[in-house]
Amino acid sequence: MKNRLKILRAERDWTQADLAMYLDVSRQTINAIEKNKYDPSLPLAFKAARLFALNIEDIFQDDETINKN
Amino acid sequence: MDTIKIENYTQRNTSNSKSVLIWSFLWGLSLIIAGLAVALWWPNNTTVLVISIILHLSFAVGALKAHLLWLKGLDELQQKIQFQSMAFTLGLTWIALLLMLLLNMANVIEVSMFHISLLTVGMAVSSAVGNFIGMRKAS
Repeated sequence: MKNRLKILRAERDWTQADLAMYLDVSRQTINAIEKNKYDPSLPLAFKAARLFALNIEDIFQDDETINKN
Repeated sequence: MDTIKIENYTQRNTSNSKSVLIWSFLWGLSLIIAGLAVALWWPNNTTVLVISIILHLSFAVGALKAHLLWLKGLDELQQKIQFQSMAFTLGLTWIALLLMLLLNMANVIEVSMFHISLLTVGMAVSSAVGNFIGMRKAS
C-alpha cells in the first residue's frame, strides 16, 4: 500500500514527531508508514483522514489500484 | 484544530515503562529475599518464608499488571513488534525446553536449577533479539 502521508505532512510543515503526536502513535510508526514498511490499521487510517480532512483513499492507495491507473 | 489529541504518546509510554522498571525491580528484589528466606530460615521459621513468598507473589502480580498496562499503551506497530518478539521467544523456549528434557532422558545432561536459570536468560536474550529484528524491519 502506498500513501501520501509524507507529502501531506510536508505541506503543513509538520515533523514526524508532530504528526505522531496528533495521531497518538510513536514517531517510528509514522516513519514506517511513510516508508511503506507498515500498513496502518483502519482506525488509524480513519484518524489520519480526519486529521487531514480528506478521504482515506486520498491518503492511502493499494498497489492494485495504482497499477490499474 | 479540534482533532488534535493533547495526551502525549511518548510521555504516556515513558511513564508506563518506568512503572514496569520499578515493579520488575521490586519483583527481582523480593525473589532474592524469598531465596534468602529459604536458605536461612527453612524449615525452622516458616512464618518468614510464608511472608516472603506472599510478598514475592504480590510484587509478581504488580509487575505483570505493569507489563500489561505498558503493552496496552503501545501503538499498533510497537504492539505488533512486541507480539512477534513474544512468539519468537515462546517458540525458542519450547524448543530449548523439550531439547533439555530429551537430553535429560538420554542421560546426556542432568537438568538442574542452573539449566532452568539458563533458560530464563535465553528467554530474555531471544526477546531482545526479536525486538531488534522487529525494529530493524520497521525502520
